[in-house]
Amino acid sequence: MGVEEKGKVPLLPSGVPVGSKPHATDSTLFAQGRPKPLSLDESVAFIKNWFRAQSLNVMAYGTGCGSIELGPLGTSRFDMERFGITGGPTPRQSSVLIISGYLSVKTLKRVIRSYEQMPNPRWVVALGSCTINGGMYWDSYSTIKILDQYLPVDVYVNGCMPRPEALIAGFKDLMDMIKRGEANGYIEYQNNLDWYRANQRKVIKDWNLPEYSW
Amino acid sequence: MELLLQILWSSIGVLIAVAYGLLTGGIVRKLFARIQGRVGPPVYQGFIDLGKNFFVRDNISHGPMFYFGPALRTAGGVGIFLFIPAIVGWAPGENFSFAGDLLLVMYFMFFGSLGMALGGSAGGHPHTPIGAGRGLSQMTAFEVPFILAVIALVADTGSFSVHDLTLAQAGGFLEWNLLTHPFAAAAAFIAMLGMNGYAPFNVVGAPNEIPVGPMTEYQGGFIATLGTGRAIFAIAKMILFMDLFLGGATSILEAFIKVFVIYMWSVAVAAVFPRYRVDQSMRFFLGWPALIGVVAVLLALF
Amino acid sequence: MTIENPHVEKETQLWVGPQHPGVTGNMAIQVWLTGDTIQRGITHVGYLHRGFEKLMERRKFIQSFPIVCRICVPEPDTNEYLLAASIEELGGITIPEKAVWLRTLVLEMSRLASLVQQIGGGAGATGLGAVPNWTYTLRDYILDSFEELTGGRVYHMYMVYGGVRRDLPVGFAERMEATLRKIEERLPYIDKVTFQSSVWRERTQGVGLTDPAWVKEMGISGPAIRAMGFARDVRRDFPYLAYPELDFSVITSTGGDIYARMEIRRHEVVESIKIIRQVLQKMPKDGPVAAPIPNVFTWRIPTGQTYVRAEASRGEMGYYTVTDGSDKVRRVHVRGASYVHGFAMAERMFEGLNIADLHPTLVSIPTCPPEMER
Ligand code: SF4
Repeated sequence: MGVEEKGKVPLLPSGVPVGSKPHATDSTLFAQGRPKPLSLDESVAFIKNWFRAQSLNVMAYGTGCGSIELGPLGTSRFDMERFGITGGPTPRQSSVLIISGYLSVKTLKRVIRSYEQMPNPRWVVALGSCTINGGMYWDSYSTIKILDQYLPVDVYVNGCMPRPEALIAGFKDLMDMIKRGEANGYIEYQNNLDWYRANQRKVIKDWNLPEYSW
Repeated sequence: MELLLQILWSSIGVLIAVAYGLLTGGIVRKLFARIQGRVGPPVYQGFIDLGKNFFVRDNISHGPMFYFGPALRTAGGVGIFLFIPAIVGWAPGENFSFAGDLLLVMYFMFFGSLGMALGGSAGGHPHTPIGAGRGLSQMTAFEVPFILAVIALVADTGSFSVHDLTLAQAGGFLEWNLLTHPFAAAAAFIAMLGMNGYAPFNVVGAPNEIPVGPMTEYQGGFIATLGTGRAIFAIAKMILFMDLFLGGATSILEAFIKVFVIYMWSVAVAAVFPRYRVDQSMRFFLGWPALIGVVAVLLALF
Repeated sequence: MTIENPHVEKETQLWVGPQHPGVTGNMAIQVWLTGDTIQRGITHVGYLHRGFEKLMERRKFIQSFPIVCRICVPEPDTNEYLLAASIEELGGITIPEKAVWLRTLVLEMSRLASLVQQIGGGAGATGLGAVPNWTYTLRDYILDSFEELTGGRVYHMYMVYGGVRRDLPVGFAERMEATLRKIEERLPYIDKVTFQSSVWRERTQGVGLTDPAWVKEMGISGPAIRAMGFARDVRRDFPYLAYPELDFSVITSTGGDIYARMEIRRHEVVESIKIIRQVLQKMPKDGPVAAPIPNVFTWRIPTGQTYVRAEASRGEMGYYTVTDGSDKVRRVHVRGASYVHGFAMAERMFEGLNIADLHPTLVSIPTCPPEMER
């Protein structure tokens, strides 16, 4: 699908390629020695990530029909505030962007602008089958089909539409990933900006965004 | 040397006030959640939010003026705290009270809003002037009953020093200004609703009108500084009210309890009221509360 | 796009939305302000456009069902009913008695859920945090009933051509009754903090006014028209399904302001609860729930056209359907109340409004962006 191959996978400070998952090989199944104490960098990163994970701000942007389930999620039935997840009124003050379903091309432009205004670190949670493969609008002329080509998605929550419980599970996953330092979509976006930009420009015909707007 | 020691003690006092402010903020969030039928965040959520905001990687600034908002806001909070005696007879709480500090403190109250107006405007978002304009006009309105109440107290006691005003109520709770000057107390406590900025007077950052108002462009470390400033500002205001109307405090526990009780007054009102429009809110403060304030002044003078 | 604006130097231009907590969904309102007052506003849509009407022309009749319910998210069943009814009318199918009652039940339940949510929205728009929390939970209880009945929480796809998918589960009536009672118990609390609160009244009375002269001009319907004193209701004026046999009243109010529109919703909740109780009582106990239909893969419907309408919580909703003898519809036009409300009416209402009243006005009309753009 891509215009050009995604660039070389960038490395994290710890030397691990971005997005790689630990595999259950022999060396990870069995202890190889005494546990090493964390280095200073690692422990600082751990503390930072812990704080980031425990306090997520969801940007107030309901982009599709999935946003109707964000109401129950935020209110008394499935209160998300007990996990430290609150709403962020503006892009500048939010850390999580929920793409709640299908994205029309017109919205994609606004979403990109909003996403790039969010300060790093930031994460994208995509709801519903529409963001995965177009869902039931696979043949619609005005929606994008695979969100991952335009924005780096950290967590997908599938379903049509996903129930609030599924959303909570998705958020828990995101928190765990942040704590382990694996939710690095934003680094990927920075490093492969050309690839993402080319894809975005392909669908957005009247491109008038600034080259990089954060 | 004595001054240095006093500065050290006061810094400790500021830290305690910030921590207590954040904790109270958490309790308030929990309370609102319970009223709304939710579980609510843990009470220590304020600390986590603070840490998270400090660990945001990018901080986008809009020029040197942009720093004025958080800086002035925090300075206002710390200023109020430093110039009123928080706890009489305990070194970290004595602070730098002096004759006439009440005037200085009331000047500091404007600080935060002015800073937000200056700093936010540098961001250039249209929500900023609307929010700042709302904040300043509402502040002008609620200062009227508050200042009238203060004038009534000062006319009776004959001193502009918070310390003297506190000492004048030293003999048990029957001497508290809350009971001896009921009209002044009523005017001031109604004005406090506006000062705290909870519903129905949360017009500045009204979430679904002009989301977060003057703070629209702030993020990361700026927000963390603003949050710190707000925490200490809230506590300092409550301490001022405690000193003026509830006879001050002589131990840290007493201060905690009194501050908490005063805080809960505005929270209890906020839980069940919608938001005023700013013109309605101004009309409210310039109506009955101002009249009560005038009555208080007249009672004090004659 | 540049929009002609002769007073550039005197006005502030402000975009409310699409990323803004104060719009009713993914839509944008461009307003020009002098001070706090809106001089004029323009509704911008297209952020949710998926081209339903076009997509339906490419799908067989039965395949259109999962699509139409996405047209209005808070209240999907009206769309299902309208599609089913229009195709049945063109295809010459009559649905059995039991299905008529079940459809009425589902329509009324979705109306109730939507109304309850709108009350919370109206209160939340003025900064009252507690009421949306309560009403969203009440709506969730109704969604639980939906889940039990249809298997879906938000989108049900319960109606099919010829009737409905299945009968009521055992004991459904009692559990529905418990839900209704929960709603009734909560209503006095809601009254106390909204309709009886002086602050809320001050905020909403005399604000967001509509003009009775607009009614003919624009085709207003739903709570917006009943708030001006016109008793118009599709359920009574053009009866469909089991509504002629039910006893309910059309609520009207005067004033045409936000308060009147919210008050109507408040009373319609009671009416709706009454209707659901009656339906559960009067429903025939047994009988088929669906009439046989031709093989859906090869079903062709002769040339014809029809307009079917129903009352949604926002006003009159209608489907104009044309078939041409093939196995797909030739053209569907969806008439949603939000379209007229969100463009023609709202843009007139914005003039002279305070910026603080923009969101309460929008919520009270109400507008449902996905329905405006389809
Ligand atoms: S996945 Fe389903 S619920 Fe979600 S946006 Fe798509 S159609 Fe709507």
